[in-house]
Amino acid sequence: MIQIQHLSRAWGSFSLKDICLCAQPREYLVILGPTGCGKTLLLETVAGIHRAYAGTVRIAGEDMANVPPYRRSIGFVYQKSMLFPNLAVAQNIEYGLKMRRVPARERRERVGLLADLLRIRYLLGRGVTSLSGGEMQKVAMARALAIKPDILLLDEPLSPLDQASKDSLLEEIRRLHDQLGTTTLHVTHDHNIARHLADRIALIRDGSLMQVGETAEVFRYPSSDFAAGFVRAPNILLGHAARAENGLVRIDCDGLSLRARSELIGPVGVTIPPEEVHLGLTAASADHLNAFTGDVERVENQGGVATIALRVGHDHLVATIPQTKLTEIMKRGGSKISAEFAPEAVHVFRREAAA
Amino acid sequence: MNRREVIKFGALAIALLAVQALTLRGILRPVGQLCLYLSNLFALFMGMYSVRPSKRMDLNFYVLGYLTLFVLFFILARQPLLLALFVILYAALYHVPGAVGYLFIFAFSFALFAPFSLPVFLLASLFYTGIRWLVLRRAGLLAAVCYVLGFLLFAATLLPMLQMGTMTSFQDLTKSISADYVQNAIRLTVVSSSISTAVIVLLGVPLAYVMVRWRFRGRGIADTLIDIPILIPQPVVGIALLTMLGPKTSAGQFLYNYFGVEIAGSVWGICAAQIFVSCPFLIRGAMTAFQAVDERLEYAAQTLGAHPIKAFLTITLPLASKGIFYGCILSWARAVSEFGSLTVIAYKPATAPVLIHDIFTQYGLSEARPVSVLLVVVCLWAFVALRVMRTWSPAGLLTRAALRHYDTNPASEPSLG
Repeated sequence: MIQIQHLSRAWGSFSLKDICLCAQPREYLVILGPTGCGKTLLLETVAGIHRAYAGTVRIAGEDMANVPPYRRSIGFVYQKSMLFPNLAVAQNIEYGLKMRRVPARERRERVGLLADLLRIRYLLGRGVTSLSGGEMQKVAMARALAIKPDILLLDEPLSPLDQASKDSLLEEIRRLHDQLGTTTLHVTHDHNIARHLADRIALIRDGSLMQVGETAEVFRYPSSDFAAGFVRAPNILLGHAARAENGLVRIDCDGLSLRARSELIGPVGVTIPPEEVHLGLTAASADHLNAFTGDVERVENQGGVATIALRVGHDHLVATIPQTKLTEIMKRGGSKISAEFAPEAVHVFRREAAA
Repeated sequence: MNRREVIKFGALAIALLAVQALTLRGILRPVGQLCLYLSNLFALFMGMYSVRPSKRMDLNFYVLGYLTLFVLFFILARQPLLLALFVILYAALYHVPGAVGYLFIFAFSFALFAPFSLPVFLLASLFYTGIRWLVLRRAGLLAAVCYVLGFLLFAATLLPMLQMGTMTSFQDLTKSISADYVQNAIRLTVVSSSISTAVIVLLGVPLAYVMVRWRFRGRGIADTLIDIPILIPQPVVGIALLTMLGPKTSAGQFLYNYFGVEIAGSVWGICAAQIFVSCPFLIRGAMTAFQAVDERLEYAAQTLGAHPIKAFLTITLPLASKGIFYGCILSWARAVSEFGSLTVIAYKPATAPVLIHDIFTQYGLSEARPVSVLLVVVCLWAFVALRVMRTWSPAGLLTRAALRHYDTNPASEPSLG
């Protein structure tokens, strides 16, 4: 378990501003943010490599302020793996145990166990410079896990890899976390990795925490236009909200005006899940609240489901529909289609002044 | 060979005999005549048999090569028997790629550069090897120009050394090595340089680490100060040290009274001067080496439970060891070659460079040369060490030794359980 409270630190061009974060035991927390937002700095500060200017880091309830990195129970995996090139794979994995004066027999057992767990036994006798990127990261994971850390810190371990090894290591990390249950802080700029691995997501920008929440929640209900854009939320429309009838708000976007159930007034943005957008062949009827007529711009067939991009005025709407419905639409011809969604499907968030 | 060719060869052989008998009568004795004739006959045979007559260019080159040898040895050097020898070699080696080139370099350097023939041959062969390599790889004009210009500089440093080496006979060397004062001087040089290098390593490696890892105020100035000893003229170093530690100064008297150490005219003075002049080489070498070690490797070691000192000793130092060792060799070589400041601070006991200078001024060049060669030979081990280091490192050997325990066979370990 780890608690970070009001953490601040600056280092070079990076900075952290008043970060408050908590990770429960066995939790997989992904810290998501663009490059240069201070994610690595956050991890290194948690690891104790940089001292915090203000705020506290507690690991397993203990304040880490005066605990040097080598006394913290932390496993750290760097983006470029940072294996010790002067040591072979097995020596790399047992390094932490050696520093803890674990006897040689136990060390060998533990190394063997981890090698089997990560399926890298065939690498043990090799030098680290001859390994592929994926193999290096697995060895780095094994090295970090060998000391049975309270917290595992992963600094973009997947980003230097090609897609295939990325996918396989992703599965590997998931399996490891299920088996070992080590509390993990994983920083990345890739929302797909966050979607696949995270129990919870902390969104960070320029050293400040933007949003923290369950994975599904962050993706479905981003709290700002930055969050929405960064997690690639579908159907982002920007507009101005004003009060309307029945406790709804009317939001005027570029090309359309829609109703949503929300309390927010003023400059806002919305996101609408594509599966909540219903398409119809007839022209939109006026008595429905959010019903629009648009031109089909693009159809993407994804096997079983199809994604249709519509142009409504100056705005765009994306909808996913079952394959069967797609053929029906295509058969009837005509590029004018109506799109409709409930006011409840619309998620409204406040727009930042800066953006 | 068919019958026509045999007849043709016979006719040419007889014609050759006639020409040679007519032109060389009186110039060569009959045995010499016979040798030359036989080698010419061999060249003729090889020319007809192995150089294809259809390839006109090839044949022309063959004849051109023969004529060159003829001019070199017969006309310029006036050595018909050497010509006979070279003609046989030439004819036999004509089709071995590259060999003819070395043969001609050999021929040229011995026929034309008589007193410097060996160094010239060695250098020219080296040059030829490089050019051949460049041509075979189609390296292009830029590479060729750079190579030629670079080689000129290279030759300018190597040629005098080679000449000095070849001019010195083995007897001279053994004579000078058996002399007591030479032995003493070389021993003193090696010992004092080693002490100096050890001191520099002990103090310079931490300094280099600090310079690389920490950004502190005044770091730029410190960085410049490191190079100062290289910039200062050597006698000035001696003067400065003597001013500081000489027998009449308070520091010198303090050292003498309390430690019994005399700086001027002693091993300690020699070491002081050597440390002064050779420390930049080690510090620079170590700094480059530490720069190449990623700081995050140390962080990783620390998160794994290594105290920063332990991380430095187990990760950083082994990774930088190659560069530090390289710096050691340079420092050591610089300490060995130190002369200027030693003439001021400790002319006696004389280190080898001082001794060489001493012998030169008293007895002249031919007496100083053997000792110089001896010193070069002593320094050669440093050169060998530099070469060996490229492929071999102590850290690598230790790793291999430590891995004996690990069975890397996937089937042999019990499962996770």
